[in-house]
Amino acid sequence: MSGLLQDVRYALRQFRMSPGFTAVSVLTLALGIGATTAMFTLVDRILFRSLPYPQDDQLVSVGVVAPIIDGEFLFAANYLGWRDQQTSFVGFTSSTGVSDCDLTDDHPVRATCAAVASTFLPTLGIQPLLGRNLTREEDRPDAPKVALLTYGLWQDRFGGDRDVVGRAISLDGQPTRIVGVLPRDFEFPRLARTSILVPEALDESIVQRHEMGTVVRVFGRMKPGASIEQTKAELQPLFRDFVESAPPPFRKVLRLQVRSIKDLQVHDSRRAAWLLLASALAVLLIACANAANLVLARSAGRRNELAIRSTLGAPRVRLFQQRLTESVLLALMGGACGTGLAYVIVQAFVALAPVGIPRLSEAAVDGRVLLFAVLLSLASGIVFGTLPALEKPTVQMLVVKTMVGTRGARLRQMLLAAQVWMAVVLLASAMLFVRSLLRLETEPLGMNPANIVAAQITLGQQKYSGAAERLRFFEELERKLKELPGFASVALSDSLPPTPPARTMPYVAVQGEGQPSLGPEQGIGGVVGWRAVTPEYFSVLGIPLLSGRTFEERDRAPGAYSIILNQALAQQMFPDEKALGKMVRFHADRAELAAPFTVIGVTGNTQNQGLGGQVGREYYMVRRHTEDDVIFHFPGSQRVSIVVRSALGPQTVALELRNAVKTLDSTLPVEVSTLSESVAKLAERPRFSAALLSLFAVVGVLLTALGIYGVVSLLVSQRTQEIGIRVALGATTAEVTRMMVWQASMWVGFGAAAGILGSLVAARWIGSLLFGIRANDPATLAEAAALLLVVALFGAWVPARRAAKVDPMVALRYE
Amino acid sequence: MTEAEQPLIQIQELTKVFYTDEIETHALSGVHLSINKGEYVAMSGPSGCGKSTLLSIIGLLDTPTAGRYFLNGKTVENLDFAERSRIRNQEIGFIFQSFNLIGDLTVYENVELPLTYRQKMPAANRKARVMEALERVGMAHRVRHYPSQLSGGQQQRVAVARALGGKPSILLADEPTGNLDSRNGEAVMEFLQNLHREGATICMVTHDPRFAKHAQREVHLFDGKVVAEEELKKLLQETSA
Ligand SMILES: Nc1ncnc2c1ncn2[C@@H]1O[C@H](COP(=O)(O)OP(=O)(O)O)[C@@H](O)[C@H]1O
Ligand SMILES: [Mg+2]
Repeated sequence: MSGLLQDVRYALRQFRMSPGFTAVSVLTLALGIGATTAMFTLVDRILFRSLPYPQDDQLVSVGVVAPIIDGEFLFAANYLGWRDQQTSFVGFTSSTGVSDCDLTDDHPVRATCAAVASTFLPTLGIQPLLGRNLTREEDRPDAPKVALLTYGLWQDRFGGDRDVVGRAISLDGQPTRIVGVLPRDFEFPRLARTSILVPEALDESIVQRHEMGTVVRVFGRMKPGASIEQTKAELQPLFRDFVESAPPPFRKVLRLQVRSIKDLQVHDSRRAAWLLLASALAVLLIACANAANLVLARSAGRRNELAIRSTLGAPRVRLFQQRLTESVLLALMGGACGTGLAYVIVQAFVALAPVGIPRLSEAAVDGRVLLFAVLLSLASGIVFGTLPALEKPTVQMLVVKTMVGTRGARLRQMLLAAQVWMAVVLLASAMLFVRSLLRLETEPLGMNPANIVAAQITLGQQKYSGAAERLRFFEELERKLKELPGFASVALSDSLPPTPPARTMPYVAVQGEGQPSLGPEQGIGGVVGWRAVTPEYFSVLGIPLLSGRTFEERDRAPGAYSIILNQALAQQMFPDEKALGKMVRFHADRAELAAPFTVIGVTGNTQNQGLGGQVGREYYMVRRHTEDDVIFHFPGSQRVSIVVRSALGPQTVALELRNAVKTLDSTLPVEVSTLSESVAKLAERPRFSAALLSLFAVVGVLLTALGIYGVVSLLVSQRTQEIGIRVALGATTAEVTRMMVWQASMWVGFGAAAGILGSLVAARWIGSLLFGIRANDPATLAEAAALLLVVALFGAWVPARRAAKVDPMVALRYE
Repeated sequence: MTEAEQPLIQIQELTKVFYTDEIETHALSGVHLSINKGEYVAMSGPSGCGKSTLLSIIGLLDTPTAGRYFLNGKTVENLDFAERSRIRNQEIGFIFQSFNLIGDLTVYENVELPLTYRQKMPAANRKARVMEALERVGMAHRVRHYPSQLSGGQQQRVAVARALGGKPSILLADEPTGNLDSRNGEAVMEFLQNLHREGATICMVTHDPRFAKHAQREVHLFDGKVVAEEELKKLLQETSA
């Protein structure tokens, strides 16, 4: 015990005597532990967190994948059939989705309602916190309306009142009874923000009437022990029936999909999350290599001391213990600082993070991760710190005073090279991400979003249940907005680029005049998007007209059938001729699409697949002044986007817009932002990844520089004698500096070369996450390596310059 | 004065004061000394009398606090670091008590080291010089060895070769036998004498009177001053009394 105390005291004295070494070691460990713990904490929310459903590994999302709809789905009729016939699931449920709804009591607010089957909560294994689940009887079209509140809404709107169950509220103008409150950790499986659960109330009679019904999302709980493959195989007969019932062109492109809910949630962020995790690990390894290197370098300088102690009869165990004490103390100090750092980083990134990362805001530094990081650094400190104590002291070590030198340098230099190697890979990846982000943000959109204010309005179901009410609102809105001073340029659309059009049509159903129709072997030919717009849409957004004209008032009159194509569609539909003036026919069983449409114009392409997507084929219909207009025959016609180009400031425009809407309907929420803002928002995720990765790259590079600095500093102090001799023999400042830098740089260069190779390997992995830049972009890789070389050499140069100031008089001393 | 008559080293009224922790140590207080070309001077005196300090000033490793120092007739007080390095490298050969060979470098590389600091020397030329110097000290067969693989006597011979390789105007040796047994010490002394016979200028610090006898001229230092031999004896008797 007194031995331990003595060791601790001795170690503390050692730290005091070499404050530089101690500071660099602790800083290194703190950065490594802090950054890694923070990153893991953040990524853990995405990759490894368990879902708030019991036995969540049994839960799957089931459906058919078809090009017209995003993600797996079934039609209501299929779902009802599968529900009754399937034998693979112990629970089988569906949701028609999440949509806006209004709490229309005295103080109306917009909420989001998830419409689900009565089997939804039991399948997920969720018990309401208060009240009860929906019953089968309530899940019918004609049943009295009921709802379950989420915990958040219950708290915010009802003050957490436990008597809320049984109370009647007005939901979209209809009296609705609250039957329960959901637990706090309730989460809709598709992660949509939800505040109310209502019955989806599918009309089961559609099956008899041979109608498809609406699109539903289906979830199942597999039997315990069943695998996804097995379940998928069991569903094949049902899937085959589905395929046979589909229109022939679709049959080839349909696919059955069964995947875990976790997969469903993270499929697009998984790769990025793993990449971030790998980068955190790389930083930790760099830090450990750093610490090891410092400890090794110092041990080399203390061989003499060790040898003397050993000759004085100190048992090897004691020497070992003493080293161990030092290493453990260092790791503990680093761990303490690292914990603090981790908290700071997590806070900063939670503040920065985009929405849609599940429960990131609840992220807290994970104790297990912290422990792991501390243990790893401890282990590296112990291994490298005690290695020298295990070496048998030889007489050679006692006579080093007759010569000076550096031994055991090979291992240190290899560690240095390994650090540089990892740092280059990190830096190259981060640079690729940043460049990709820059390309994404400066991607030509095919329109000019500057000075445009965009607003989104969704009409409530109750007040605007039919085409007549919706049309009246839209018409009045358009008129009102055009009357506003300074609102010369205003247009309505159902959706805005660069988000994809709200509606799509299979290409096979859109036939150009004089063009052959697609053969059955060509399937549906993909989908074509379309938007319903007012005539000013193109001028407001600055979408260039390539030929013909844009819509005019006369195109909105009854009997006028005009259509505008984007360049991509025009080129595909009419590859060898001018599209202008041609007829386009729709093969759809819809009266409103029966007449042929005349192509009156072709516009430039706008980015319409989100940022960084391939520009898709698209056409435009004009919004007519009739309730029989085509838009009212498609779902989603209650939604409208307004765009205003105005010289007035965005704040003024927003205010005027809100006021105008208020005069029409004072309860209607309006979301207003500039178009540039909403475009920028689309790049949030890649920006988040790029920011995280850059942080780690910077930490990695700093650590590497710090490591080189520390090692060269120690070398300089240990080689004072040698340097003094060289100076005595006539070496100049420049020569000494160059020598010290050169010795470090050889291995740095080696590491940098390995780093380029490593980046090429990593490229295969990150390629799909990048936009507009190849993952093996030679310029980026070369720059990353060069940047690291410069930083590393600077790290070596600073202490090397000190070497040149060594007093040559040391050559004359011989203690 | 013709060149032959001009002393290689001329030191006038030289003082050196060390300041450490507010203590002033007067290591040298008013030293006059001149060394001619081809001379072999031995410097002796009790420990702490300033021998090493004087040698380091002569070798441009250190600067005097006051006084004048002419090397080859030129004053060296105003030289900057780089110029002093260059003169050390070309005009002065050092032999240290603790050999000061660099452990990471082979015998050959150690001897070559000062030559690598000369910008304009062609590699072939350098090689010839190194081998010549190593042959002179009888260590040519050990070029690939590292210092740790040599005996003390051999290490000192390599150190002498390193000093000779640059063909310096003067060899400065600070107790070159201090770390050697008497047999190896004799050998080194004999070797220095041979060099002197061939025309080398040598200034050697020793407190061993036997080795001092090898020199042409003996300079006695006492308490930072040059004193005559009789005076030294008197002083020594006084201090021991
Ligand atoms: N760097 C220094 N700082 C302070 N005092 C020194 C220093 N070098 C030498 N001295 C002092 O100067 C005096 C002369 O030392 P030195 O020339 O080494 O003596 P010698 O070589 O004759 O034994 C001694 O008192 C010594 O302590
Ligand atoms: Mg001395």
